[in-house]
Amino acid sequence: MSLLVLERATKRFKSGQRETVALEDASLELDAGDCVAVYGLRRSGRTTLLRVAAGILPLDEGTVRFGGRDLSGRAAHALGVEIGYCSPSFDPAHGGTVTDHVAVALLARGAGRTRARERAEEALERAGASASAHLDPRELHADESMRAGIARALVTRPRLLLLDEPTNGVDLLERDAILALLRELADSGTAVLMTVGEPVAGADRVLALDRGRLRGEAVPEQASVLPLRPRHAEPVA
Amino acid sequence: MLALVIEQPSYGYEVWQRFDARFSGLLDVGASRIYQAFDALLDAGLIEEVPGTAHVSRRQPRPSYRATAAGRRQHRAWVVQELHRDPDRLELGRRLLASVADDAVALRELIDRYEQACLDEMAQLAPAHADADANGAAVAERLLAEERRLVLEARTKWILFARRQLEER
Repeated sequence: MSLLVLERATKRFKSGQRETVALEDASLELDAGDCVAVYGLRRSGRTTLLRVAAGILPLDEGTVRFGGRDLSGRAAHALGVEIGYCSPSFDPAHGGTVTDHVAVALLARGAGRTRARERAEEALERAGASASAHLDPRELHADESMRAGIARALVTRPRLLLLDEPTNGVDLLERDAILALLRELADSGTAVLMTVGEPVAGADRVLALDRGRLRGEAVPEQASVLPLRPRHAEPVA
Repeated sequence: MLALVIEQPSYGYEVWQRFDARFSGLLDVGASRIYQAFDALLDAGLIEEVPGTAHVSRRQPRPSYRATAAGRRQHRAWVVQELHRDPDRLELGRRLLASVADDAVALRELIDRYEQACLDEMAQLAPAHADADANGAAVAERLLAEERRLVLEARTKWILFARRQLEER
């Protein structure tokens, strides 16, 4: 059984007379250890896809299941614990330092201060953000914010990590290190689903999203489309 | 061959072994052909014998070769040229598109396939570790991967454009 399953998911938004189809008939499966990148330009539906996968947005049609449970309706149980949604923006109300922000999710669930702090430091280390721990989030560079955001999503030890454009605004030379970190997290068993506005390295599968339609190998084994160009033999190193 | 001699000056058979290890499956060239290639490179002044290496072995002469300055210059020029030339793909694309230009369904299918090939290629991009101590080969690897990534970005944008164009028709 796959960890995350989207089946023919459709989501529409209505504003006045205009109806936008943000996600149309999208199917996707993700297992533990998978790292999947969804490539799309702005307004392609990529954020909607992540919010649907997180169970934040109810679907108009189709289903989304996490660990076999239907996410539509009872989302709050999974989100924030088993599903980590990474955002690099920080609400000043959550505290003064990066560690405070990372610890908030645990404090909100009744963890003691010391325990929450320890776990926050552990998550920051895992995300390679220990150096930012004592800083004010407003002082961080884009890559540091992203790492801190990843740490905040990791603090509850989720099985699925969702990231909206983890390389957005990140300096070219820092970008690869962030992608290597995500690959590492996937290799350690966390499923990673990210949307990207540029091709990125390190994913097991890359899908394309355009006008809410998902293309590519949604399910790894069912690749039905042949590459245009025959693959050459791998040169021996 | 010139690149391999630039990488490590050596004698014929050893260069061929490296050639074979790196390109077998892509370019299958017998060991005997290497000497023709060396002769051509020598004639063109792109490589030269390393002095004093011709008679090291007792059984038969085994000269080592190294690249001349002209050889290194020519190799650099060739690499740059190859980097922005992708004749196979361009030619294939031109022929395929021309053959289905009047058939919107076939054209869409072709674009879908092309997109899948690009997505597969993206999934094969290896993440590079930002390592300050990276050796020359790792840096070259990283530069090539980035070049590949940017080419793929351009292709995927073209795919979006092509699909929109077809929807308008």
